[in-house]
Amino acid sequence: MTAGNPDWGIRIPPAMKFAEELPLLIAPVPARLLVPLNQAIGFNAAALVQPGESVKKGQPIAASAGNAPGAPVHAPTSGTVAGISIQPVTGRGDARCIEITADGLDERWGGYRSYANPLGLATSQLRDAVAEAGIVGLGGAMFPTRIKLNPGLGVSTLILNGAECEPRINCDDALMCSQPDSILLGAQIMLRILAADECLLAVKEHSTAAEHLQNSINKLNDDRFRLERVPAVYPAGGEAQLIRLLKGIEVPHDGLPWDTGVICQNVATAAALADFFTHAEPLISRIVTISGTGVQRPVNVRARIGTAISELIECAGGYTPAAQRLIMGGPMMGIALPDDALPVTKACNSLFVAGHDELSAQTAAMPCIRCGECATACPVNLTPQLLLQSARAQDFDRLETLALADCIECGCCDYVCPSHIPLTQTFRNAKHTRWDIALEKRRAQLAQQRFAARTARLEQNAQSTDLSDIHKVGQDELSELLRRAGADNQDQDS
Amino acid sequence: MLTAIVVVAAIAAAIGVCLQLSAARLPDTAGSPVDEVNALLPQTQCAQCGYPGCRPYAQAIIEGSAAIDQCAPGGDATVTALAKLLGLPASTLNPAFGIYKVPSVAVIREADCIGCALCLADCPVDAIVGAHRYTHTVIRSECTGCELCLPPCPVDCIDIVPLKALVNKNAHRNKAA
Repeated sequence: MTAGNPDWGIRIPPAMKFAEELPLLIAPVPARLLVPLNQAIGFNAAALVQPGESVKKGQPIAASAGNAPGAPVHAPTSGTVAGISIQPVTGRGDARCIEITADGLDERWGGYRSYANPLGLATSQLRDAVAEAGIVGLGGAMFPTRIKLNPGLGVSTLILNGAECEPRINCDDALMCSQPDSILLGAQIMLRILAADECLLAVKEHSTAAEHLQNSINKLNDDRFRLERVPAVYPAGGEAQLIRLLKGIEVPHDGLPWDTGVICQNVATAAALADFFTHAEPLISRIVTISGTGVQRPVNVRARIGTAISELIECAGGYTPAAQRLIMGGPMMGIALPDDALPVTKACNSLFVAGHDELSAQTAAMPCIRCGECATACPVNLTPQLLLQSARAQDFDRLETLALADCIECGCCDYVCPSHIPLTQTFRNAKHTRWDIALEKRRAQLAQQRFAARTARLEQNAQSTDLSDIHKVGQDELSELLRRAGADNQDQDS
Repeated sequence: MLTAIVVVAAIAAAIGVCLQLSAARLPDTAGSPVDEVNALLPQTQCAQCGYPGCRPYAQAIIEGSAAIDQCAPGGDATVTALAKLLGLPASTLNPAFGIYKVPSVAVIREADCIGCALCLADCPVDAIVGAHRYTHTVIRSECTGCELCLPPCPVDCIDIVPLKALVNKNAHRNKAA
């Protein structure tokens, strides 16, 4: 079944071959791994190991404390912990990282067991396993799956997102071709946890992975599964956009996707969950697409978390002389990386090494001509031209009215703008300024409260020292005593 | 003619009485002018304006005894906002009261702190934790960077560090799934 064509987004010509034509390699385990402990919402998990300690492959090495929305981190291979330090990581500035020197044995930790039939387990056991396995959203957000599988309200539909709308990313496609059965098993486990009625598998139209998945579905003979072909429109693979396309429901502006009774999971997340049950292997590796004319031969590669990006580039045959820029993610939303020594994180789905020919020439922005193309392209129905005006004027009240916070920073408006105005960048800056102002306001309020409390306390102290009358009485009595004592002494002397 | 004048005057008087009564009876929703001015001040409580805190300065502005260009931590932006609120001509910060600095916090070099507790009393927001003969530290999230703790420190172990240098700016960035 094919979902209808949306009236938003952009059609980008498929510049990339589908996974069938791209080899899926297994990256060699490097001698040194730098495992980042950063989590989705910007904090680090706490290390469970000490430098010098030896670890086995799959052993938990960090856990998030208390109710913090994080997931445990596992050792990607066996070896020795060389150190724990703050290191630069992709996308989020710095994070605490555990450095592991591999011993080359790749010995498995014995703490987890595999199950022949995980679907026979109780849902509470399944939930615990999701938390234990360190599984996070592998679409790039790294949101802990255990939280997403525990929405606290009824969920009717599970959408497995394999739509991969961004051009040049096809790690999910590769996964769907190579491990369709794992994906379906993971989906069955999720369906059981959620008690959902149906599972929609979203695949990009024309993708060859659809055949593999359809075959597996037929084999499984489970009528809860349905394959959906998503039009090759960017950003159809965004969570809210996919729900809107497949179910016709719009995620409320102040709500979460699960408020619509739909939960979206990446196909790789489902496969990682299945691997934990069948192979007792927690989330220690992921598939990364390496593409662009900046590398010798584009590949998909399964890499251990913590592998240096430079080692993966080697898997793709190294850089070509044309290589200009290293980007994590796709060409639309990716982040340019300053260095290829950074480690692969659970969020790293693609490395795009852009050559000369793939970078658009820097064109100076022209004035807005109010053509409205951006408003047509915007997948969340915003009006970028008005947002731009207000962002330039720093009019934050108006930006609030125009729902700046709902911008998903997909870059469609930039792509269609005939004046080459860097809209998304302007909006991103405005969001940051808005956060800074809000932070400033909170700090000012706190300071005001504390100043008032201190003033009140000082006043109270001043009042209590007004009891110095007692003190004065004491003084008087003392001098009286001294006087009498002096008199007594005089008496004795005389 | 006379009737018309009397009628109009009577209506005006009736409306006047109603307004007077409602002004006296109904709660004041707008907040006092002092509060409005205070809300625009950065709440560093640094006393650089010559008043013991932001609210006393706001009070002085409303009473007319202080100018609006005395708040150094607020910078020109605060002066502009105050001018807009009070309908005064726009001006810039008066350098006699200090210069604008980026938002900063105090950081105690704990190795050098001798635990004299002298800075504790001078902090306007009680953001320094410490006791006699124990190392002190600053609660970063509560420090306003007012620099009032610098003069009492006998060993000069307090640094004023820009907040930007300490905060990971990307911490609140949360990419959609």
